[in-house]
Amino acid sequence: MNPGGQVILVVEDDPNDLLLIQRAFGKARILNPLQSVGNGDDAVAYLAGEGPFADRQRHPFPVLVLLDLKLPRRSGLEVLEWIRAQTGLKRLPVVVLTSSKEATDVNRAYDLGANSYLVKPVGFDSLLELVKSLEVYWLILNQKPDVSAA
Amino acid sequence: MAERRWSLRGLSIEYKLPLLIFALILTISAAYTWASYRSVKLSALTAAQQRLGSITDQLRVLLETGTKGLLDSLHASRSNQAVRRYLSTPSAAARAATLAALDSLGPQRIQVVTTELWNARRERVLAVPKDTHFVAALSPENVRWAPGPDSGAVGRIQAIGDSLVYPISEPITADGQILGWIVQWRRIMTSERGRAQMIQLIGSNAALYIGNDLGDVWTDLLHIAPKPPVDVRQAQGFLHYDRPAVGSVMAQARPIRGSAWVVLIEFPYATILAPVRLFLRRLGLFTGVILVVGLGVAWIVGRSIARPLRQLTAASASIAAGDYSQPVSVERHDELGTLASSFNTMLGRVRDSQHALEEQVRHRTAELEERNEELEGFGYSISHDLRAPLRAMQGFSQALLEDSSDRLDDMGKEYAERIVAGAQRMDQLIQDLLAYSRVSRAELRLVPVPLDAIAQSVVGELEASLRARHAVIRVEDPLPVVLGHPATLSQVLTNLLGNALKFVPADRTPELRVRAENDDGRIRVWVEDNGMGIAPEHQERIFRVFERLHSGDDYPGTGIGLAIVRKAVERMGGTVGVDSTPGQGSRFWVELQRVEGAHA
Repeated sequence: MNPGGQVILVVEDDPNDLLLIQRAFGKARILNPLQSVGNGDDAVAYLAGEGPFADRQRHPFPVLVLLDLKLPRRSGLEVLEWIRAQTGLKRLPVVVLTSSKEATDVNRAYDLGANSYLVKPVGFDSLLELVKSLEVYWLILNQKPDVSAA
Repeated sequence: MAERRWSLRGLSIEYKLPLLIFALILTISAAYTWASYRSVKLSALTAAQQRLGSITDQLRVLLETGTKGLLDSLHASRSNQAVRRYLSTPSAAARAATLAALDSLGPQRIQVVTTELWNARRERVLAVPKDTHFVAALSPENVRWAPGPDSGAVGRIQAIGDSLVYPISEPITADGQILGWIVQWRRIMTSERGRAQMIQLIGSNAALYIGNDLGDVWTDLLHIAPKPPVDVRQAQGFLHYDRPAVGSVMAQARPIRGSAWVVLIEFPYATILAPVRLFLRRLGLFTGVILVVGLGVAWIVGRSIARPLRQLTAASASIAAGDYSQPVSVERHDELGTLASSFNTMLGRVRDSQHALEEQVRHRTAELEERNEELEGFGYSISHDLRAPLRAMQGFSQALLEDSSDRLDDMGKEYAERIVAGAQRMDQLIQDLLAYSRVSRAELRLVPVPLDAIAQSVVGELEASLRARHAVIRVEDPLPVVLGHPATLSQVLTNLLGNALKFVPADRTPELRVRAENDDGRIRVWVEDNGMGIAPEHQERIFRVFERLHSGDDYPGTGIGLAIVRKAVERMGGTVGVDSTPGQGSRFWVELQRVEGAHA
């Protein structure tokens, strides 16, 4: 593993949730660095390497995106749609991590090319379990496709 | 089954009108025919009576003249000297002359049977020719003796064998004294032709009879005739009786003066009434023609009324079926035309208001859909936004407990734990409310669902909870196929089993059973437990939202699970209920539609 290069991008507008996710990653002893953005536009900018995110040393390209759906400016589904429309990004693993259980959201996310759909649990223990299995599956077991920044 | 009674009311105008007109024409014709028949018959009878009266009188006069002529033929003898002499002093010489005189008396001598000379004492003194056998048969009492010296008389008819004979008598007088009588017996010998001519003259198929005033002998002038069935001598005016082989007849009899004869003329009613019958027949034919024409006209009129009405009915029916595009085309200017045009106006109005209504419904539906979308957005916000602070409360309380426990005393730890528990309960509440609103709003497309598979997957999902309580669950398969929504059915079964499991007291091993009953097209699925049961007064309440029978400490829950079950089952066209004995267990049931062809 190359902790320095295996960045995970968390797209999350709620600072509480972000803090809890970061804590869960820490508790689970996952060494991959977390990068976070608070809205959809920033997520697109980060992935495109534009604006404040142009420096790939400080903002490396992620191997996995944890995407919330309810975001300011550009919704998670729109971000997902944009990612899948980019030639260099369309293989990037995107895991939706949101609080909505609505079937419409779930179906729409998969239609747009989400690799997985997870519901944020209320209990921290559950979140911890979720983060652990996330690491095992997406970062260790899963064979990563070739992805290049646009 | 009762026979449907036929009634005129249910009949189409097309048939009713002709029927009524038929009845009307028939009644009028019958009345008219009867009245005319009566008057025509009466006048025919009156005419016949007049004719009969006058003909009878004429014949009487004719016969009176005839008999007078016969008597006149004997007149010559009155002045015959030989006869007078023989009557005063009978001698052989006078006898021969007298016989010769007698022999030459009367016209049509062929009819003469015998001519006799009687004296004043009314004793027969001579007869010529003297056919003893025939003369012996003649009855002298048939001779009528003239009342005066100047007139003769015709006596009664007597039948001797096939022959009919009658006497005529003439007195022989001298100085007003009757010396004796010439009596001549004559045979009635009318020729067939003469009689036929006479009958023809009378007409009316009449029958002519001449008889004795005693009524004992009758003749039709050719042969002996049977007596009429009534005593014609007594009758005044017209007679009515039946004559064999002729039928009913009208008759009149008249005595012939100067004779012992009666003339009788019979008119058969058949002949009298023949014109009446003819009239009746013609009237019948006429009535028939009128009936046929009337029927035809009435049918045409009825049809012309019924047809536009039928069109209106058809148009009404198509409107009733929801088709407003069929106006009635009735090209008329009468009441039916007015009706049709009013109908078309009404149709237009109905169509317009229908369109307006549809427009309104569309508008409202759009509004409702908009509201629904808003509501869905609201639900989305609840599920998303309301739960975020919960996660923070829960997550950081736990973080506090884990990361800073060394700086918290027992009370601080308890408070933090209470925050965690509260947040968890609130989360459950929100999730249940969302489920309830989802099940109330979602469009449920009902499809055949095999209950076996649903039960299997639900039991699989509940495995952890079941194992935790060491529960025994028995699913009595095969379960039937019902009409339902798979995900919703799963939710129903999950809630019922979860509920059953929850309310078994902790010191008892939960025994759950799922089975199904087939009841006349409906499937009743039972979920049974050996739990604490529900008192009858609470059995309806438990299906309402937020209704709870226990505090959250004893049996945690939101009070929405059974409300979701009821709402879900109702949305699938079913019903739900519970049988329970407190302390022993509950048997929840759900009734759903069976799928035809699928067997339990």
